[in-house]
Amino acid sequence: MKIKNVELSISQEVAQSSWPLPKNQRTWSSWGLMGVALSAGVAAWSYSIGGYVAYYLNATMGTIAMIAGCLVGMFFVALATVPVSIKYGIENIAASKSIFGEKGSIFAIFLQYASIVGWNCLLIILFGKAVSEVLIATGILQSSSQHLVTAVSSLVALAISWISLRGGSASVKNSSLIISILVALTGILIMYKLISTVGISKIFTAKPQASSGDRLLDYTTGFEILVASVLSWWPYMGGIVRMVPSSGKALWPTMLGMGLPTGVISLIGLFSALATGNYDPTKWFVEVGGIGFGIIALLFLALANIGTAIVGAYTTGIGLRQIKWIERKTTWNQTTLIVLLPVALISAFIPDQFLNSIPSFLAFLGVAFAPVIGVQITDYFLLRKQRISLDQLYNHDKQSDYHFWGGVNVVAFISCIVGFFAYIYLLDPISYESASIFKYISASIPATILSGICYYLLTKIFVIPMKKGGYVNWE
Amino acid sequence: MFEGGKNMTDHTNVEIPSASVHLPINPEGSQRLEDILAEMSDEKNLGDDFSKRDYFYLVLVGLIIPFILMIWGWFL
Repeated sequence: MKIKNVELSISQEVAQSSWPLPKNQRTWSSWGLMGVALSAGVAAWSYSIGGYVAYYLNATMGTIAMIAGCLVGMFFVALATVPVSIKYGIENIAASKSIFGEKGSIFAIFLQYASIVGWNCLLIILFGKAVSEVLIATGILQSSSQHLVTAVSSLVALAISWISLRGGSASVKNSSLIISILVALTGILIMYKLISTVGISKIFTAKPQASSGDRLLDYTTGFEILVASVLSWWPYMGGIVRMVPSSGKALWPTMLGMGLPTGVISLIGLFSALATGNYDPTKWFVEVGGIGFGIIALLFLALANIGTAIVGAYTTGIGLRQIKWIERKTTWNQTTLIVLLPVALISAFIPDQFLNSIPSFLAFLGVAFAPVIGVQITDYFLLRKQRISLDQLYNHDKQSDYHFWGGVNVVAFISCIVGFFAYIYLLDPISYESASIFKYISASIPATILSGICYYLLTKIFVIPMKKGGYVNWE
Repeated sequence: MFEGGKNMTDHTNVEIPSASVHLPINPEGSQRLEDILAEMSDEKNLGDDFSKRDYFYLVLVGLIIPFILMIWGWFL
């Protein structure tokens, strides 16, 4: 009976997660949000991000480009999501209905699902590999068993994530603060160990592994990798920032809790790759630090990766519940299983193939999110003057302002497609070949701006004169 | 296991006070949503926007400082 009550309570909470949250019911402080943000922001995927920057840049320029890139990326994410989510107490998928239309918001759900499944795969596979690397280094495990242990460790981490998600938002928040403190301290310890072991001079004199020979192109590429990576915080944002009562309380947790840590933790991957040739510090955990340090580092990975996986799966679960079929036919536990199952399959059967596709995955994030963010900023600030209609957002009939054309705002999709092609023209996400102008303007920022301009013009020319979208109410 | 479940329920109810009863979402849920929409039609129940000072800090940390860093990094 109690189990059933828990399930009903969580279902009630999750259903309401797609509803607006009035200001007087927002119980998170700025520090509470900072804890959740840090828990999500500090994760081992940053190692791989730093590792790819090491292809192009040395430690000095890489550090600068990564810190700058993560802050710029987070600026656009924060501008797109924080004001609307906090003012109206809604998460991103609900907010996207005023842009893409009620049915068109499926696109936002897909983006959220695809990106978070991808990130969670990376987190869980890296964790599984870390377990097997440490066990091999300590002599407990033979290298022939590595694949099996990697798969089993990944599945155990996923099982822990799934069980933790049964508690809903409260368990996410309550565990996040402790995790974030431990994770930050252990991250500092790993960085200290790396620098003290290999020496700061070796790190800062190391050459990039695959420099193009064009210093500006390499600099911009390093910057772009971080901007594109941080833009993928978009799906995480609305669901957590709406728990605080004012945008001001979300400013520093957003910029310094989610954005900056991505760059700072990436430095471990950058320095490690430059000094040892491998971005993954689990390769040298035990070798340079001994068994004790290896276990501590492993604990860091477990806390960091599982904490981030839980936050991601929680927000994606809420997003999926906006699909009527899923809301009606599945329980909360089944919904989170839908989020975690693809991760389990990829982690168990094709982990190496997935890791080899990381550069393309990072570029996909820029291709996908930059145009969406450009459209969202333009819509909320320039066209709607920071006002949307909650009544219309939850009005599901054809008379709703956000029904557009058959439930889809075609103009938003056209604008996003323009942004996609602009990005691909500037930086091919598969081959990483770039246009000659890329090194001067990067790719994510122009794609964001171009899609925003396109959306503004098309809305002014077509949508508003046809009295779609409810814009006339704010004229 | 069951006690843990109860604690999670309690925490959850603290997080979202409106979820005070364990009832199926509809039709009570629809009424509850309507109540929330009516409540939030009052501006004072909406969250606060960024202040001008917040926007200044956002632009400073998100654009100006990174721009300066990139210029500085180029000459290092």
